[in-house]
Amino acid sequence: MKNSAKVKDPDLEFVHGIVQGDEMAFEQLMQKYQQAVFNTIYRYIGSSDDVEDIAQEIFVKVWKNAKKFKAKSKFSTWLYRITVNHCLDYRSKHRHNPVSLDEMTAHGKVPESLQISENHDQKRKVALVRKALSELPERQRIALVLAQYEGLLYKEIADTMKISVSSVESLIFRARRALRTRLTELMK
Amino acid sequence: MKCSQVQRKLSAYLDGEVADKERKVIEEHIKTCTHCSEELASLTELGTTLEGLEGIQVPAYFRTHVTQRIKDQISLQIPVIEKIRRMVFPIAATAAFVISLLFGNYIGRSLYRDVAEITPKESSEIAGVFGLNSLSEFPGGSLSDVYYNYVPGGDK
Repeated sequence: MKNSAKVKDPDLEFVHGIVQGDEMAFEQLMQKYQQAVFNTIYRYIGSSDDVEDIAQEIFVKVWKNAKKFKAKSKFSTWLYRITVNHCLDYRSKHRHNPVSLDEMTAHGKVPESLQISENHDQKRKVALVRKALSELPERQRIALVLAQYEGLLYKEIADTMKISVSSVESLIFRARRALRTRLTELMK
Repeated sequence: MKCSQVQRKLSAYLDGEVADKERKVIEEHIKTCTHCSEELASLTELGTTLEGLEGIQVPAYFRTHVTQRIKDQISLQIPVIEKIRRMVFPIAATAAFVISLLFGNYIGRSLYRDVAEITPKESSEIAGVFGLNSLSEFPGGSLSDVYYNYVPGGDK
């Protein structure tokens, strides 16, 4: 099992700085986590359209609520929890606007690195993965994104989602099984 | 461990989330079970496919946008009394300035009218009281010359 020994949270110093109104500490914390936050939102909502707006809301919330962070969990867990809540909130507001496969393969819906690629098959494969991911139940998708792409430990995901480790294991297991089935259907 | 039990654990196994003892059991099982071995290969392949979904680039001015958004929100959160004070103060200062101008103008006009209404005789008497009659032939442009020209009858 992955090592989850308790060590001092390296981000606590930044958080204390933010509480004191230190903008530099906030900048450094953003620098450290902005990519992870962007990727998590992007992979979760399945579109690049509102990623920056959601990410801005998340970091504004971090700045405003830093004094409420009691260090019962790691800062990163707290940040992921805020991210997950914003993603869920976004999805509940846009539930009736699912992104179609055609939209996903259209310009502006796939990463730039793939737009300039000559490999159409790869581009389509990525679009299919995004579609299959977007069809997963919310909790399965969140758990899978955090484990598969962000490399979080099951314990960290459990803390983020406020569920047990065995529930995380079950969610990820079911997510992978469902994804495999759906991708097989889509790739036929 | 049965195949169904192993297969339920393969996902966690791939994530390195099974205890050492359990990992050994799974690995022993896979060596002898083609079905579970294929299941593991399939999940590994799925992982590779999923990794094809790249991340997204963070815009260059993202952090600037966030700090600006925070500053905008802080300015919106100024207490109502402070907002009123900030709004009222310039208006009150402008109003006070305009009122002072109007009042000064009114006072000036009133005084001028009072002076203008003085008859030449009264003016001469006033000049006499202040001893101005004893003065004459002031240099042109001097204060006394201006006064004499300004006050009707002052030069008499």
